[in-house]
Formats: sequence, C-alpha cells, structure tokens
Amino acid sequence: MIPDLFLLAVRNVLRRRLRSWLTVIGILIGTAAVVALISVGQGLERSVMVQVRRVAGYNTLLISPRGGLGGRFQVDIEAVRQLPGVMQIMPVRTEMAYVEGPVRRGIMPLVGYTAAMETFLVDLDVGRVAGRDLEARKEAVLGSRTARAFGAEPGSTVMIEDSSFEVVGVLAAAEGHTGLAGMAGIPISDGIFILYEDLRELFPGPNLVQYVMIRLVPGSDVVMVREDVRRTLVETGTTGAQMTSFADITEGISSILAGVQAFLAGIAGISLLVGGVGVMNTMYTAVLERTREVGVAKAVGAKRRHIMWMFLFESGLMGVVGGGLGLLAGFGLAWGAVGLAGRAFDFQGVFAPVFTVELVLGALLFSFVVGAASGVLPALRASRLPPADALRHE
Amino acid sequence: MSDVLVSLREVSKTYRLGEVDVPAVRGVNLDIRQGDFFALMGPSGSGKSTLLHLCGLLDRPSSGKLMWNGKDVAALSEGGLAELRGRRIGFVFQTFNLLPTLNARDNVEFPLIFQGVPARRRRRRAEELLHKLDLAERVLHRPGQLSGGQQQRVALARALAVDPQMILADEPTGNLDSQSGREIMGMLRALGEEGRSVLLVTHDPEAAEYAPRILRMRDGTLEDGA
Repeated sequence: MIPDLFLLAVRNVLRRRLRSWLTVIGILIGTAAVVALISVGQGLERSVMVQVRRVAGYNTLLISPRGGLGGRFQVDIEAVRQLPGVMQIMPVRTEMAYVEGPVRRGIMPLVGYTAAMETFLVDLDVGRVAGRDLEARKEAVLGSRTARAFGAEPGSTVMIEDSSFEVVGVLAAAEGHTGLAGMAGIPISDGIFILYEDLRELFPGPNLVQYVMIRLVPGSDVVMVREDVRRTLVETGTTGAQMTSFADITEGISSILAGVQAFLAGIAGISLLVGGVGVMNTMYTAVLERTREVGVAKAVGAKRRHIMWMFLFESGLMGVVGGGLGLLAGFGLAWGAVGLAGRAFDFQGVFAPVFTVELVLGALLFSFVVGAASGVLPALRASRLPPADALRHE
Repeated sequence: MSDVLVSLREVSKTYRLGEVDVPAVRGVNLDIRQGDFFALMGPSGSGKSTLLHLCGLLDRPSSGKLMWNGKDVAALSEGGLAELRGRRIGFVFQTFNLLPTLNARDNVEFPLIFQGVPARRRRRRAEELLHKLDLAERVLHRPGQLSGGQQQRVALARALAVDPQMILADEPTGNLDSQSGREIMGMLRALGEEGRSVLLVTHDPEAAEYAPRILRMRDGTLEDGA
C-alpha cells in the first residue's frame, strides 16, 4: 500500500500545475541561496587559509638587524641550534660578488645556501625550472633572471670572485619574487645561491649575517623559546639585532580568519533560515489549499497515516526536486558571482567556490526535510479535522 | 430488525460558530435498511447535508446514538470509522470532488489503494466500472477534460469501487444539466434496485422523484417520522 502511495505521489507531482511548480521554485531559490553563499564562503576561507599557510604557516622567529635592512650582526648559529624547541635555523648571509658568466660579467648578490633554506624555498613554492639542488661545494644555483642575464644554464661554469663554480640548477621563481631573500633586499630571481661554506671561504673575516630565520618544533611554546633564544644571543655576544615572531602575525591573521568564519556561519545560518521559511511558507499554503482533497481521501477510507505518507512523499519529492535544481542554480550563482566580483575588483582566479560533498548532501537533505515537514504538518492538521469539515474547506 | 444498516436514535449535531452554538440536526430518529432508497429534501440550512455526513461517518453526533451494522459508532476509533467508510460507504458529491491530478481510472482506483487491493486488480475493477458507466473512452482523461456529467459518473464509479452497501449522494445533480442529472439519477435508482441502500440529499423535486420514499427536513428535524 505504501509503495502505491509513493507512485501516487510521483504521478501527482508530475502532473502538478503551474501553482505547484511555483512551490518548487520557492524551494529552488532557498536552496540556491544557501548553496551559493556557503560555497563562496568556503572558497574564500580556503583561499585565505592557503595564503596564510604559505606566508606564516609555521612557528618562525626572525632575527634581523636593528635599524633596518642592510645592517649586519654576528650570531652563534650552533648555540641557538642546540636550544630545545628549535627545529631549524637558517642564517642568511649575502655578499655582493664579482661574477663572470658565459655572456656577461657583473656584481651580483651572492646568497649563502643551507639545507634549511631548501625547505624554506619549498614552502615558498619556489621550484626549479632546470637542474637540481645544490649538493656539493663549488656548485651554484641561479635565480631565473640572473641565469638569463648571464646566459647560464645547468652545466655552465661561472666565475665568482675568481673561483670557478658549476651551475647545477635554475630557480623557477617569478621575476621580482620577494619573500625569503627579498627580506634581505634581494629578489630571489636576482640571486646566486652557493653553499654557506663556500661563501665563508670567499669572504673570510667575521661571520656577519643579514638575518636569521628560526623554525620552531611544532607545538612548542613560542614565548619560551623566544626568551631562550634572546638569552642565548645576549650570552654569545650578539648585538644590534632584534627578534620578531611570525606567531604574532599568524595570530593576527587567525583572529581575522575566525571573524570571517563566524561571519560566514552567520550568513549560512540566515540563508538557511530564509530558505527554510520560504520553503515552509509555499509548501504550507500549497497543502492547506488541498484540505478538501484530504477530506476526499478520508471519505473514501484513508486513515491518518495514509494521509501522512501521501503528503510526506509528495512534499518530500517536491523538496528534493527543488533542492536538486537549487543545487545546480547555486553552482551557477556561485561561479557567476565569483567571476563578476573577480572582474570588478581585479582578483580573478584568486579563489573559487568550494562544493563539498557535505554541502551537496546537506542541501538535498535540507530541502527534503524542510519540504516534507512543512508539507506533512498542514496535511496532518487537515487529517485531524472531521472529514465533513475538510470537505467543506474552500 | 437485523437488516438495519444505519440506525439513528435522538441524534443531534451542534456546530460552534465563534461564541454561538448552532444546532444543525436535532433529535433525529431514522433507520436505513439494506435496499432503502431515501431522498432527503428540505430548504438550505435545514440540516440535511449534516445528517448525510453523520450517516456517512464523516462526522460524529454531538449527542444521541448512531449505530452502523449494529455497532455503536461512538465506540469506534478514527481508524475504525475510516475502515467502515472505506469498505461500506460510497460518496457522491455535488462538486464531484475528483482529484484533479489523477485521470478517471486513477480516481476510481483511489479508494482501493487504502483497502490494500493489488494494482492489477484495482485497474481491472476501475476499467470495468468505467465501461459500465459508459466512460470507456474517457479512462485516461483527467477531470478537467471531462464534462460535468462525465465527472459525476467517474465519481459514481469511484463510489462503487469498493462495492459498498450504501451510497450517499449530496446534491449529485446540483451542478449538472437536466439531461446529465437524469442519467445520474437513473443510475442511482438502478443501484437501489440492486439492493444497495441509497440516501440522496437534494432540493431538486425532479431528482427526488426517483426515490421510492421522500423524507423532509426542517430546522434540523425530520418532518414525518421514519
């Protein structure tokens, strides 16, 4: 009997007139609004997360010269490396060096390269266009612009301060890409990277660095490690340096992000409410108008549970149809809105709406449940009337 | 008498309209036996439709005793009433009350769904009845595509689907032209002759002529005792 009632509902929905399709459109609009807002919101959140992770995804301390860029200071790398909580320490020392390449010669910034720097470059998304990483002494990796200017490629030989180096790789970083080396005033694309030991050999004398980056063991207490580092720096005679914690920056961004998330949750909640009320309103009216049909069904022997099944199937079906169409409309709306806004505010391609499985299933479930509930409630109310009253209903 | 189908003893029905109680049926005594064909006449508001609704178990009396097949209706649950309506009673309404989204055959099948009749038997029964009522060509038409007379015949077929003991017709000719009205009344008379009980509410004297016995109602009471 219940499958019969289901088939009846299918037939009923298929043969509905315009009035009832308006109900479906009401559900469609509600669902589309919810899907569009949530997917755009999640897209925004994801893109911000990616950016944040790229810039300051790790607990990092930066020791830089006091008084701005260009200054130098001495630091005892080994003493700091041995502190608990320090995972990696990356001293960055650059020198201006006389360089001769296959087609050109000139003064170029030379960057001392360490194993730690390699991970940093990976984190910065700086790949190589050609060759491999630095592995041995007397090897060099060039920034993309330097490589082009000097006509060098993997296999070429460059002379740096009268020593011969073999070019083993070229970095892919876009020209002007700052970040890491950019912090010492050098865009990555302009640098020449050689092993730190080679740099010290070429430039003997006091080991002065432009800055030091310290990556902390995940989960370590930034404040405590920072204090340990500060004390060690003082004890080992470092002067003229200051320390910044990326945690400070990350914390700021995190709190912004939390705000964004709360905002999005609020918008999603409001659109759910608006969508839900819209669905309930149209469904409720549509079913209330059919009170007389409920009376007819009861007159010919339908019991209350039969009425419930009939309307559960029918309004649930309408809910799912509206929800499915609303999902598609929501996809379109989200892409359209992001595209338009991207063009208007010139951030095309920065972020795309995100449609998670949870969102898709949730939207369908939402439209089914809200549709079914708001259809069944007035139907149940009508079924509680004596059939004589329901039949008299206009 | 054992063949009394419906028996009413001092049955009253009072509606509450806001603050006021409106008595619609007052102290009616009536026995409807197997095969009786009554026409119930009276001016508007005399309570004849209410009486029909009470006999058809579409409503419960406010007071008095209503027995159906010897069972006190007051003791029956909502589900029990639905079962009696579904198996024993067929309704024909003035406005037909067909489901607009269903074609003629599905409308006739509709009551059988609630009796758990399998789809194939439902279909056969519906087509058989529609043939009998001269609607063989209209089986797949929806109510909107049918004339008033045809719709009322579909409604009659629906009322007959469960092979009921009693047909309750509330102004069945009220929305029909006289030709269609005569057709419907002829069919109702034939049903009476088959041994079904028929209660017809009408204020059309011509329609009432088809009934062997005419009951008159005024101000909620039956004028000539049954």
